[in-house]
Amino acid sequence: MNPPNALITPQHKSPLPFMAWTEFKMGIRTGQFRFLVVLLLLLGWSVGGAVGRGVATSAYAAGETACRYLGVMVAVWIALGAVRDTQMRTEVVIFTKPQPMERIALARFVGYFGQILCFITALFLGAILGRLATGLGLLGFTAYGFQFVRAVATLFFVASASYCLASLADSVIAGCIVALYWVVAMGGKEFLAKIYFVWYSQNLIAYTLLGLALLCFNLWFYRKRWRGESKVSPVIKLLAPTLLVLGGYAVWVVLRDGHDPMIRQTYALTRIESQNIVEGELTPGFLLPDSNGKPYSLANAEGKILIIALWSPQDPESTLLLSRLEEIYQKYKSQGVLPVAICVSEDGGVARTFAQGEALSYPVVYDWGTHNAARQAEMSPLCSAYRAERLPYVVVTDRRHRVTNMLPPPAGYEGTELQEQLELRLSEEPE
Amino acid sequence: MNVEIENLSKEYEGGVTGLYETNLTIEEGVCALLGPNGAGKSTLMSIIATLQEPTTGTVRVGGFDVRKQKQEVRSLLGYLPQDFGLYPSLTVYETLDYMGILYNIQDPKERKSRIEAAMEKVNLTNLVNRPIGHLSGGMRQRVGLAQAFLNRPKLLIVDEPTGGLDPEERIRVRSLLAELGGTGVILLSTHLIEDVEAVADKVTVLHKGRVRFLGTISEMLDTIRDKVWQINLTPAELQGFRGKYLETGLLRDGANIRLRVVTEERPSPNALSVEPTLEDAYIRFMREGTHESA
Repeated sequence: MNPPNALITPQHKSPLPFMAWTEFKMGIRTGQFRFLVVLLLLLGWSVGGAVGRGVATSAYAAGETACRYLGVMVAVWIALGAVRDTQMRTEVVIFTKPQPMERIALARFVGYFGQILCFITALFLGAILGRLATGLGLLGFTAYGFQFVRAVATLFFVASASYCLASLADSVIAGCIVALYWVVAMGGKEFLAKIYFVWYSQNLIAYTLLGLALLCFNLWFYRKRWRGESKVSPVIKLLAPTLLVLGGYAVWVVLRDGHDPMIRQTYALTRIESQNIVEGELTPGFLLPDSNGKPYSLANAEGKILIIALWSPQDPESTLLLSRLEEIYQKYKSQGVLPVAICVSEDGGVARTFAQGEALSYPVVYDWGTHNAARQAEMSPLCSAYRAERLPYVVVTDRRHRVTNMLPPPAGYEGTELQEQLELRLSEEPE
Repeated sequence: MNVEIENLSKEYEGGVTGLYETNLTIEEGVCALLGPNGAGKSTLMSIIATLQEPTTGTVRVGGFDVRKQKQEVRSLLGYLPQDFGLYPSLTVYETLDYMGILYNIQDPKERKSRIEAAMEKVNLTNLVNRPIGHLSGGMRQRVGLAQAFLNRPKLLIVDEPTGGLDPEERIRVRSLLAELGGTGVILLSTHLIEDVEAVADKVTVLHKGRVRFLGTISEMLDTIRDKVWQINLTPAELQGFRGKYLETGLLRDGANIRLRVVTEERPSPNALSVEPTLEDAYIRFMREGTHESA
């Protein structure tokens, strides 16, 4: 007889892909999975058929739905998967095999996250089909890509946190704590600081790193009582604290560079906030990043008649306004008219989504001081400076950037009054 | 390869003792574990199968400590638990393929040939593509058995392997266990004495966490040889015998009753000395110390 240790087959290649694929197959063959995919296709169709010149609203709606509502579903789905072996009594078969615990746990996570990717894809596919069904075309299609990546990163954190809690506690309830957090975050928009919202684009790098760290810690301590004294992979032992430190650093960077009165205010944005709009005087100035991240100020638009539009992705009228401004820009740009759209959103990726999704050729800047607050005018430094109680809010200036008109909604987005004021300005100040 | 168990004890929360100072050496061949519910059979098997930690003592499988070298022990092990689940959405083949990967059988051709051989042995070849969720209890038991010896284990632990099987399948499984018995250690837990008689080389009787007997079947039978008696009684006479001796069987024979007892002395002049069975010996070990006549 061969010595017993000859039975430990040497590893030629990792069985991880095969194991993850099997885990993936197990999930997608269930009735619950198919039901959810169909449901998400329909949900995507209903939210993605929004109007607009480009796909921005459709892509943004799909992204928001994925990040917010799918987050709760994903947390529960993953928690159920994490404790599946205990529930189904498969653990006595699976964990008496010689595969390392961390490989089994990782394969399961990868398989389940593959299912989550299918859910996200179904939602976005539904949104694209819904958009096509409106007959408006797919101008600015890349916006879907940006929102898809955002949804994947957000749900990766949800999945890893839920998986980690549920597996280590061997309880679905523990995983559902993440779902509970999600519900609280969605309901607590007015009193929570921006850093608590995983789905804001500026937080995603930090949360992805933290998600990876949680996953590594889970692999480290997974089924410790059944692992015995077998050594945990040194890669995991190295990665777990490293990713935790990097994640913590990324959170600190977001807080350091952000503006959120609940945590920290920056001097530059406080100065912007302290301005006041007065008709006939210079319009409140700013230096804010545009949709490509480059700094933009009104000094870039010297000698132009400005249409400064503060808008929010939450207002359906804003999309109409952005499209209308593009038409106006194309019509009057030769006469020195320049719209500047100021995005008022807590999420740093919205300006980019709308600039790409609506194929806008005028500057779209992001008021990164936007934060959660009860009143619109308190939400962002520029809303405060422009005294914008409701959005979209439009201001027209002369060529020296003095305020000539302030157009609150609906005058701002309907366009008739805006066009009249613009033509009056052009007749008084031809180029 | 041997399984060596030294001073093994297992105490659960609340002070319930599962095993008490157990010492055993299980050699190659089929070793049957017999004992009533709560005797410690499942505790012993799950400790050897690396699923539970003992409170004290050591277990070595082929020289590997089950506490410190779980991965090595698992590579030698095939385990069919009594109560287990399988993934309902996978087919029989996919399930065994996945188990093969968990056993580190990396080469797809090798895995395929082992799966086919295993399915052949447990008569599953006609169910290759059927999802596990669509199988009957007996079919699932056969899949469980197939996965247990997929890696040609040096130690096969099977807990009630014939439970839920029809008589034909039961004979097939017994034959299979008898066949596998020559290739390593098989630890078999069962309530069916006929399973033990058919396949076991050795028998271990556990009672209240202690080993009552360890030896071959003939050694077990020798413990009660010339002590088993059969008495033909009328129902009225039966009342006079009840409780006096250790009864191991009672059969109706027309108007009379045949009573089987274990005792040193002939219990009545018309009592016949009969060949002992494992059942007689088992019952005697269970009642040992509780009945003076035995």
